[in-house]
Amino acid sequence: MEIKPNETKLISAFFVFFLMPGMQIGVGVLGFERIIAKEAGQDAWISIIISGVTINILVWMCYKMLGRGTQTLDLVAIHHDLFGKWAGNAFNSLFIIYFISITIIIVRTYLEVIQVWMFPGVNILMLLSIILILVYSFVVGGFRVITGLCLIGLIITSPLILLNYFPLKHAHFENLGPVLDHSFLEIMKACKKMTLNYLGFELLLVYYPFIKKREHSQKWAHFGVLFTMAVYLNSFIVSIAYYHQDQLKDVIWATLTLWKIADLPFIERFEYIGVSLWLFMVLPNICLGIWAASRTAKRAFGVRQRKLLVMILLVILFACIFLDNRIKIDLFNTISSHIGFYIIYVYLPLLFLWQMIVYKLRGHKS
Amino acid sequence: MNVKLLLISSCFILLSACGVEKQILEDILIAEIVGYDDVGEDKIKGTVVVSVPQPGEEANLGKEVYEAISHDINATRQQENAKTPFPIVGGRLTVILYGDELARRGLNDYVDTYRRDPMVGRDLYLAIVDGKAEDVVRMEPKMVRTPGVQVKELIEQNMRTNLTDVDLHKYLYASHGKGIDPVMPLLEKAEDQIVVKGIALFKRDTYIGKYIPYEEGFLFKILSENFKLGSYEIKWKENDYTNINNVESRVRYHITDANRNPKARIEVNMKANLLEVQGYDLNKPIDVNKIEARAEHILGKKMNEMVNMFQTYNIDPLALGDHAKSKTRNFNREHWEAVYPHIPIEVDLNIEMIQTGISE
Repeated sequence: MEIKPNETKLISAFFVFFLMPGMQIGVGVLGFERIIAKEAGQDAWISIIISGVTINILVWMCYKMLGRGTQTLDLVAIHHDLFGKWAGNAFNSLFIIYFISITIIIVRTYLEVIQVWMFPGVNILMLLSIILILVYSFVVGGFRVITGLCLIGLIITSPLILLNYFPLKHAHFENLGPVLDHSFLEIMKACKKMTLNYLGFELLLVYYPFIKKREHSQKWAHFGVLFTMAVYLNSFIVSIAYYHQDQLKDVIWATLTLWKIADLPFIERFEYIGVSLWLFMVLPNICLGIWAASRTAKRAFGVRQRKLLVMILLVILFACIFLDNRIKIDLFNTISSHIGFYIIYVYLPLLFLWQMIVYKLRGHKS
Repeated sequence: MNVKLLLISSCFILLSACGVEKQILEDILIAEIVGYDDVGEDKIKGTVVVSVPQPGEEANLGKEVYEAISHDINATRQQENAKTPFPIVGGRLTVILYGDELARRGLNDYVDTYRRDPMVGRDLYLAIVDGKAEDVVRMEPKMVRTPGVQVKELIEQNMRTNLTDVDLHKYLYASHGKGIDPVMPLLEKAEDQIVVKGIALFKRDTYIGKYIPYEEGFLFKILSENFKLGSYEIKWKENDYTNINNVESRVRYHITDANRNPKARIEVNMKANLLEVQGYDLNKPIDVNKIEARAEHILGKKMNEMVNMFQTYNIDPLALGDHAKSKTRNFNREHWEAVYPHIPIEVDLNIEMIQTGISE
């Protein structure tokens, strides 16, 4: 099956730089500090770097897999090529479910932030419908529109980084010492917890055919992941300097609570602006997730993407209404991040090896 | 086309409201300062000053006081609402005061709600009142000279010279963190004024009933942070006093061997100028040196006494335990806590006189 999207639907290789953080940075950055600091304390920044590097290796693997054959331009093609139609579609379905579930996490966590921080009485169903209608209009617009959204999202939210000025006035950088006071195992545990925040790069396997001059895009993908890493590193170091480690363990949304300290003459509670602006960071996440799910389903089963899109949006709507309290959300989060962890750290390398072996054998035959 | 029309029209309906309670400035009361006191039987009394917006372009903000008694802070808030025409909101709260009786019982339960509530900022001040917090809170509406809150301005003003940096975040940092104890300003009602009496000392979240007097607050500030203002009066001999002005002071903590026999050295480098001297001739360099040495001796002794006092009460407002932890691999906290009251702590003070004013 040939998959070559129309020339007018392609994006420049350069935009992969925005697609990477566009999917990776989402709601996680608002509160990941507590989770990794629980495992590795002040040394957790090492975990952020280690996971960043491993993700780069995985990106490299993805590019190798995609570039190996002339036909294997996306995940569905790779699966069909290696496992045949039926088994391949089983794996494709797994990925579709996985894409949908990470989208559900993102939507639900963002709604939770709005509920807790801004409007406790907000009508979730209505807010959700508004967001999903918005998402529908973007996804229908196609992949180029979503790429543009990633770019805009990154630009609009980047001034938020200036907010770090306020906590730095209270910073205790000695909190970072002593370096390497935690065992290797603890640092690795923090790495595992960090995975959820790096999820999203694997969408490359879906949007790869949409890139013009695909070979040139690899370096931008790596830069994108490094950018994500820098953002996380920055957030973590500011948080660990601003909070006491024992205090950080109780702060659910460390980055958000950090914004509280911002003291500007024209606004008392800056986090209201922060949470609202954050929609621009979350929207690309949701759109890309849903787009990837519907695109994979379309490629695997040959159904029209628009029909699938509506179905997926309905699934997300019902799932978000069903996940109505902290415990359920947390449980769903844990399960999905486990699935994500195994998919990227176990399944992808295995797929990579399997493809390598298969191609070696085929090479011998011919 | 029809679908689009449906979507657009449904947007209008959906966007009109999301079930959010609206808060209009004229229809709410903004809490400015709140005080809590122990009234026995496990109950607390909350007193709150709210600003009441007046109609008119250049009208002053009126202030009113409401109070309520209950078991926890949210219940007192609820009961206060029973007496007010509009709901009280806490988004712009600037100061929370606690009576000393309540503070002796431990404050964690009474700070918790402000820690959790997303409406509350982090740059509000906490303070202890020697006596009833209610008295200070009730003073507030009488002092309408400034539109802001008197107590807040009082604390902010003094934080430049004699009080350490103390806001809600600093308190949470110190009371939740191990190896560090919080401090708070101690206020007092004197006649018809509110005055800062000193710095109240805490063990974890409990006020131990001791405080550093206001004048000595300068020394404590020198010991705990780098800063650039403040002055201290030194008595040389009978009837001879000298006033040292701090231009810039820097503090560093050196802790060695924290897991076995800890030793702490607090190194303070201070650049100062003299603005008032009695009984010395500043033209002769020898005298300036003498003053430096003398001041180092006198201030150093006072600081040593202060640090020893912290050890006697087994409190650590200078965060030595925390500094030890960040400098030591495999830090043994239990050992540190056991030996802390007995370890030698040396204050090493260097004063450098850089100016002697504009007259010779």
